Amino acid sequence: MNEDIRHINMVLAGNHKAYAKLVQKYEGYVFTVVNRIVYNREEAEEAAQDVFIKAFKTLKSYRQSAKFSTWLYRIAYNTAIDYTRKKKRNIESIDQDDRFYHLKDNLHQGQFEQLQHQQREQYINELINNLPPNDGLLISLFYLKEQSIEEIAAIMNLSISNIKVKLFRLRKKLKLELEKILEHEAKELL
Amino acid sequence: MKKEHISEEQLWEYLDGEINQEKQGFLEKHLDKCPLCKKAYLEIAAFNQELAGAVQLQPSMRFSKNVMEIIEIEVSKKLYRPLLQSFWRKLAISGFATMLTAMVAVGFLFPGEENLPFQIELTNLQSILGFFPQLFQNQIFMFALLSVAGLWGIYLLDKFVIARFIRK
Repeated sequence: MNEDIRHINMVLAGNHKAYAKLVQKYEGYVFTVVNRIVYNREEAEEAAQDVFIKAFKTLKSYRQSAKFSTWLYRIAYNTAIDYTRKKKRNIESIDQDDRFYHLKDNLHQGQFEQLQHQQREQYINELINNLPPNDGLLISLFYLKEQSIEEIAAIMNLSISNIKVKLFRLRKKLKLELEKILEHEAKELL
Repeated sequence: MKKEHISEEQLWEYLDGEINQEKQGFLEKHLDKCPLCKKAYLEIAAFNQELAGAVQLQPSMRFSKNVMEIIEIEVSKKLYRPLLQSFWRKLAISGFATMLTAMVAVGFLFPGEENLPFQIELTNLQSILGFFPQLFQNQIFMFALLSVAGLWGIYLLDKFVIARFIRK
């Protein structure tokens, strides 16, 4: 039996402590999904907590024929959208150039002489955060490895080929933007 | 890109494992021979790795503990909730209250009747409450009053015990 299903059955049988295993397993996944919509770390953490509490309360309604991560994703997505509505945040994409220069401003604060792998990941993460919410979500879902391309296509109501094309374009764009930033900084250092 | 080189799209597909075996064999052979494509592939592979590392965010260290603490509270609320929060108990108690109300109504409609099936001897209490003679002479009313007071007392006691001793 699938580990998730085993823990879910334990929780449904009254051992609520077994839920901790599910929280530990999916906390990164849920937090990442929520953060791609909410943007603010503190709010994302609060929303992610709500996701797990909602999931616990409605665990009986989970149909075990579907993947637990897909069911959890739906709750996470809806909770994050509710959060942004409540906070009246503008989740529209920002103008491309503005985003680029805003990011460059942030990068000025770093130590570019020792641009390390970890820092590069941080910049990539910022670039993903500056994508429109659905694009950021698509990249996240793909790299979180919880869902296959077919499942992502079903979740996002897009065709498989559409997902593949979008993924290619987004990754190409992210790679180019990162190269631009690094190039720009290298020039400034000279 | 020239026709004989591998396109960037194909390289991404190869990295994702979204390519058939025949194409995969062809690409691998080409990558071995072509330094340009090999360079492009290594760049993309490195970026792919960084992207995978950058995507997954982690909440604070206490996150799962916080969630479980809230769940503990939720569970205790569910286990030790006042009687009236349970649907079936609420239904039973409100059914009983409706019956009592009906009895009181019958008592008012037939004040002089002596053959009603639910008359109880409450003469002692009636004499203490004798200042409203007409109302308190009605045994049905007295019975209903005592029952409602009793239920209300049990409900308040239930809430008090949970608040004071169980859910501190």
